[in-house]
Amino acid sequence: MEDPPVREEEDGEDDEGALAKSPLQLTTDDVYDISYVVGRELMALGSDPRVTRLQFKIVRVMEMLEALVNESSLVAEELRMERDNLRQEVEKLRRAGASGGQ
Amino acid sequence: VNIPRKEKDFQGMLEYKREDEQKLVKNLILELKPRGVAVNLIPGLPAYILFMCVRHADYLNDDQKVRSLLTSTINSIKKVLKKRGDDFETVSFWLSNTCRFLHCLKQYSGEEGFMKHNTSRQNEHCLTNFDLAEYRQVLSDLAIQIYQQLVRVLENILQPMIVSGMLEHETIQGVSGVKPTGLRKRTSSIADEGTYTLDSILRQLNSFHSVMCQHGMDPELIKQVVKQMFYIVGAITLNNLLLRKDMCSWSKGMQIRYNVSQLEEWLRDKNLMNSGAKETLEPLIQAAQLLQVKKKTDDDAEAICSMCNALTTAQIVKVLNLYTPVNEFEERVSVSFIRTIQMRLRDRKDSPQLLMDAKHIFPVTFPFNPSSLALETIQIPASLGLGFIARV
Repeated sequence: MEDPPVREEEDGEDDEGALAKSPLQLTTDDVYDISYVVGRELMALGSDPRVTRLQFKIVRVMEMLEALVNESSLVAEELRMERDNLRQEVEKLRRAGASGGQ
Repeated sequence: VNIPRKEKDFQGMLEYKREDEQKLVKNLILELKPRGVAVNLIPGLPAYILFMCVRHADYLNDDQKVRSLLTSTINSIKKVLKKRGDDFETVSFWLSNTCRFLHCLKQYSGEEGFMKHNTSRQNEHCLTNFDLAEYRQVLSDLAIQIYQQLVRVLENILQPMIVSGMLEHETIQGVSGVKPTGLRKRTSSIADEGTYTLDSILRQLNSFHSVMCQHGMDPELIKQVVKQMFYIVGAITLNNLLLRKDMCSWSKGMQIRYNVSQLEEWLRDKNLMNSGAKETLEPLIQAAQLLQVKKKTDDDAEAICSMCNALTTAQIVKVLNLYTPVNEFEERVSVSFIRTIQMRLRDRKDSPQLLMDAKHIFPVTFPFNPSSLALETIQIPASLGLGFIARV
């Protein structure tokens, strides 16, 4: 049967990095790694319909997490760019004001 | 108050409108990313979904729809591999899913030989109207084609690392006999940063292996891929040994044996000792031993002849000819010693071949690997964008 053997030692390694991270630093790659490890552990529980129902709820939760991680990094990036632009603008205006006052 | 609704019992089929077929293969095959939440959590999901669509078309007794879906499936997979066929992840993903689809077509074919491991519920899910044995043949050919492409891709990635990591890079200090002058040391440390080491190779193997595991590739297939990777490493290393004078010394033998032991350790670590990968390194291992044994007396010659059974006479003689003594206390291999070896090996029926065929690909097989997954419980994750297909 295709159920992959769950190897204890590796379990720790594979997703520990991602699960130990601060939520604000997660990348979508971390989300995918967590998905894989959680998926393996669910599969090891067998094909009880209740397990499968849980599995698809977790898929949905991970999809949401993926969207949030993606979205928040985009929003942060946009805000950062906007802030830097404004800073430059301020600098420029200050310099223009200083030279105009002379 | 919410009245708890009893969940509908599904039969494990998926229905779509005929005109949605292109949209289906577009979202499920052409534009599906090989890495994502749904496919990582449930490896092989696209293959299961495809099979469940086939089941419904079979259930409708609609041979046109079955034929059209299977044709679109095969063509779309080919299209993806044409477009992104140099990306290891993509190729590994579609190799795994093509195999899973093939396993499904067998497991639910209704042929008794494929039903041995099925639950009774799974047996109820067998196709009832069409015999798809011919399509299985086409899919199996497609899988072979994808496998060969996978080998090409991984070979292209590994190739530039092998000579540098297995032969040139030195981790054993003080045996090479070359005095590390100041200048030499500086150049080698600069080279270290930019060039590949054994660690680069091991890291690359790790990355290949973890991608294949994440895709739920059949364990038997992973073993074959690993065997093929080890063959490539062994063949390219040995060929370079046979072509370069500076590689045939006692200390290189030492370095190679150490590197090979690290590769073996990797196999042990990944539980792949029965993959046949280690055996593909045998010619290289024997060449490294040959660099290290004594090469003087008749007894030495006899020992060499019985030890090097995975090397051709041409390869043994070439190594002995290229052999460079480490220092003034060691002699060159004498011409008479080499003659003795040649005489002893005369009765051996072996090929006059010097170099190994580094492009050789072992024929691949896809042993049937049924799954315990229950089709009636499969749902369609929203991220796949397949809201237009319905569970039946």
